[in-house]
Amino acid sequence: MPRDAQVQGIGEFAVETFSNPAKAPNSEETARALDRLQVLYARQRRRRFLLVWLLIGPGILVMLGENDAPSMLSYAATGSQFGIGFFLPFVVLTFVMAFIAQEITVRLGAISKAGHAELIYRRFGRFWGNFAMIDLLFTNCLTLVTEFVGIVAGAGFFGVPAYIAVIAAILIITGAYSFRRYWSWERTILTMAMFNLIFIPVAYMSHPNWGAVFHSFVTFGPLPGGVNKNTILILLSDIGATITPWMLFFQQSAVVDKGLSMNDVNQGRMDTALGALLAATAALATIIATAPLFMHHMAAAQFGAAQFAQALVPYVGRFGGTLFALGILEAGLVAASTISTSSAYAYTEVRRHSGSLNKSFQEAKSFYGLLVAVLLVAGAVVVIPGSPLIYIVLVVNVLAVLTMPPAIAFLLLLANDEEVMGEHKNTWFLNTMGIGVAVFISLAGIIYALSVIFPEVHL
Amino acid sequence: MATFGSVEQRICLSELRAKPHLVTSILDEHMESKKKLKHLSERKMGPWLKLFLWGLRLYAIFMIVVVLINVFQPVH
Repeated sequence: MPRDAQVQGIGEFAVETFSNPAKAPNSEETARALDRLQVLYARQRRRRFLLVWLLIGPGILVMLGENDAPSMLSYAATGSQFGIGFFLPFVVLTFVMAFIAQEITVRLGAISKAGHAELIYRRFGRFWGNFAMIDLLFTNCLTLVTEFVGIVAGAGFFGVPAYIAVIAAILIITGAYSFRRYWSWERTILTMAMFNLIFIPVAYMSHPNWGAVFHSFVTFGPLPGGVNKNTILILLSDIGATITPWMLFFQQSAVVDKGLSMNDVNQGRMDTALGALLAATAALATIIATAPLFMHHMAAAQFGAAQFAQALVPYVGRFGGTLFALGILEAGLVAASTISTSSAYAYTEVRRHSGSLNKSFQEAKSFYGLLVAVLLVAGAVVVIPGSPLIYIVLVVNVLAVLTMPPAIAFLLLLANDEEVMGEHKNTWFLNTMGIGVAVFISLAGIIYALSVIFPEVHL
Repeated sequence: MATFGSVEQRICLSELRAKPHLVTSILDEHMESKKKLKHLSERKMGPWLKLFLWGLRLYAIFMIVVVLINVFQPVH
């Protein structure tokens, strides 16, 4: 069979119907068409595993990306202060909520083919669009700084100086963008993200009491010390470690950049569920791994990454401590990549500039420019002596939760917008779940505010 | 070189670039959505919706202030 006929014969979709296209497709469209061609082939041949392999990515990336350095430190602080108990099932619950929110972004992206910031801008106008973008860029910049703090702390365990760790991280992250293909970038970062599961062997090495683990899931307890201000802070920090605004912006834009279509929504859901499962497992493993610090009454509340790794050595061995430090380093590296990408997507969508990982630097200068700029600024903040890093690390997860209600409100309004979603708009069941998540997060924030304003009141 | 499961069904980016009509055909759904997106106008917001969004905005600002109080109080 002639080569051209073979190409044209790949599915009924590739029939030449456009005899006179208005203009030649650009590099972004050509790259996306190549990806779509593979998906169409897999679907036509009923190669289900190939189809899933081709379509997974944004969901796993967003979930493992959110298991970032401050999140893993939050889980480590949870394990060291509360041991095995209430927080294990609670963390699983937060990932269920994350799945509910992220599933909406898959449908929004696959149906509208527009990023989250772009849709807010188009449907709610410039004022609210800019507000959403500024909120995102502000919290993303702070979070990026904490990712570099994690990278420096993880590298510090191996004796690597801070400035070398920062420069190496920036080179690795920008190196992944140099492929100029969304697909290649996604697979590179996915490979790196799999190292998040490094916390699982560390948990095994800590010889956990599996009976206590099982008991905690059945009883949602124990909760040592009961509910107090510190418990609420950890609670809020763990919610912020799982559900944050940048995830909504990132996954929807990544779904669009990957080129998912309406027919791919189910695979997009599987991708998100798989990501939530992997990330929840890594989070639980971190809590379990640091539980021996609670058993031995170590005051680990203000520990950094390297201190956790050092403190764990007597319980998990030198190798276990090394794995823990590597895990924090990896968490910071992957999240720095996904968070800076979400900033660049949002900025270019609102400014109506060209922004895609399928484009070259020449074609998307502001996209790549912003990406590199935020990385350089965040990296510089970490190596500049006297930077208020401790404040940033303390507030970043909490800020993420507190800025979440407006982000979820826009998400639900868009998911119910008939002009955007058509027949795919949210059902009453999905709305109930989405509103449930929004109410839960808002209530957690309000209880936190009350505990700060009225510290004398015992909860 | 991208594979489609067997050697006979390979196509690479440069080949696809030479076939713009094929690209357009494959991205039919995407082109339609982009066209629809261009005509998507700003939605009309009623007073209750505006009030709701402003309420959430003030909630976020208030909460950020609370966080700053919580962080800086123990320091001073």
